[in-house]
Amino acid sequence: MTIFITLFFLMIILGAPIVFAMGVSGVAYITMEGIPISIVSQRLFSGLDSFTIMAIPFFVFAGLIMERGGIARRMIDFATALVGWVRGSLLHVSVVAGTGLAAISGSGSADTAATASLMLPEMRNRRYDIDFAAGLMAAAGSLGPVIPPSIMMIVLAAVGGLSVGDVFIAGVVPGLLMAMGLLIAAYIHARVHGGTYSQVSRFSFKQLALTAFRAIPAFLMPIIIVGGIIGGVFTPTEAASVAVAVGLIVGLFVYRELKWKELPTLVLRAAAISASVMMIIAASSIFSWLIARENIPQQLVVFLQSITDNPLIFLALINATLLVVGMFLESIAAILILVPVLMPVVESYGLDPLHVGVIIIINLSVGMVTPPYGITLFVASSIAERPVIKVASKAMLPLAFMIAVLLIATYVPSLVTTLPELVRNQ
Amino acid sequence: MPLIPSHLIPTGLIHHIRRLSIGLAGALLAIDLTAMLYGVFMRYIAGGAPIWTDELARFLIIGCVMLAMGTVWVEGRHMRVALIERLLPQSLLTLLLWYQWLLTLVLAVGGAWFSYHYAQSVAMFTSQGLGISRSIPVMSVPIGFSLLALMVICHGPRALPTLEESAVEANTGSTDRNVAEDDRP
Repeated sequence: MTIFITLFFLMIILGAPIVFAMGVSGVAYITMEGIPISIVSQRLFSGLDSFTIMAIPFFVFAGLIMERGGIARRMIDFATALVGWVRGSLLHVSVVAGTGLAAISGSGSADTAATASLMLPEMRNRRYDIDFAAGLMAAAGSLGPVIPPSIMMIVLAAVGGLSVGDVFIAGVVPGLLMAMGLLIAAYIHARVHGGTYSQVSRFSFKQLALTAFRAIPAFLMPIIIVGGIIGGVFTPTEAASVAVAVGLIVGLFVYRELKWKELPTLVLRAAAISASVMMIIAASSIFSWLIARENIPQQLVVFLQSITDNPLIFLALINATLLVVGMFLESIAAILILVPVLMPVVESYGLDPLHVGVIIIINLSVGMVTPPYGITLFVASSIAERPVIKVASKAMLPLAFMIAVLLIATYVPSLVTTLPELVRNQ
Repeated sequence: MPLIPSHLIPTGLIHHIRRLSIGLAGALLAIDLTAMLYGVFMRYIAGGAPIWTDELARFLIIGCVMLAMGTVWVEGRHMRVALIERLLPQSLLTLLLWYQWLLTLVLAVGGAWFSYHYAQSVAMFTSQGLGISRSIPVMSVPIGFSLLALMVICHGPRALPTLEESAVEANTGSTDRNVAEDDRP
């Protein structure tokens, strides 16, 4: 088993795709143990043969349709009417719009791209600190996995044996708290840096009502997806496919910004993005089978219990580990590698797997804003045409608030678990 | 918006294989969506969904993923840590690229070979919903690995774009690979 783990990490360090590192190290172990090699093909196929996992391509497709279908612009118009009167108005607008888009697409990089490309030109005109603005938008984009619907949550639910509906609802309060934290960070920055941020629009209830009315089709998306799943109307996969259908209707016929000729490109992009995620899921099924076969979770339980029997210290260890892992590993890969190992340990400490699951998601969303592999950071820096390192340094204030929310969610479990319990008891 | 930055599009055979594989994958995804919506429609409008829609949808997704595997590799969409490539001198980088290329080739050829034999071994089993031989959906695995192997051979031991570059390109349309590192005033 040591050879298996060593080979896996060595291959990752040497730049092999994670999916290949999982596959090759798994095959090497299987060969050495004399297990029939056909188990690899069997696990690859059965790893994907899951109805829940099937939701991923549809959520990806729905997100792409949302970005192209004029919904991002409606969301920004609504956010401008809602918070455009606060000092540092455009910073607040980008956070609110990012939060709204997070409730639609579930993809952090897509949300960041949509917000940044629409907001940055005006921010430049008003002489905002572009590095801070890009860092803030990268942080707002990273809310995508925390606020439902979320691809990361679906993967977590599938791997951790949790209800997709429960995980979705559990992310709402922490996600909104993170959004509030980012708004506070934006306000602090605007207060400290004075005059540049004083230009604001006047609040108009009429304008708010008008933009809210225009954004109704956009708001329908999360209601259909999350409401449909919670209400037992759809399975997550059916909800995602219905979201695609609604997105197409809105983009093609309501807002009329999506063109028929663009659809083939969107389908191809959805297929490519989905394949990259789902190949990891397929390969990780070999990985998790080997981990289970070697009783690694049980060994980890014994090891961790020997260090501490205090669940609070264990949670601190999880946070510290995941914050580091999130800096270097892509989020979905991290979930697929760590969750099968961690969940039995979580239960041994008497902790709620749903609570810890959401903590894992928050940790990894923080990782999306941290160098060297913060994907929303890369997208925001690229659109802003600024060096990653400078944007990252200015993202420290928003990051501090995100980590504060992470700690609150970690040590006040009711913030995560109360809403799912309320919905379940309805 | 292009699927891949223009300066990274491979010419010749690999380009055609890429278009074929991602085209087929996209078609399967579109059919899959139709099957899912048909199932939902039948359940709520006609009072009962046919048993085969769920199974067809699952098999189509597996086919879509496997067929797109090679394209994902060429476009650098596979998640990997590319830090060492930025730190190595040119001579060692060439060696590393050869290692990565050979590893991928061995994996692709081996995957195609073993999964083909696995597909043959399940030929006598039939699926519950569609009533077809299990080897039909499982054949998408060796076909996907074969397409990957072809692309790997055509691509050669050259550098692939990183995930960050793919993400930036997909979300911004920028073809400047170094824009994120570019230290502008």
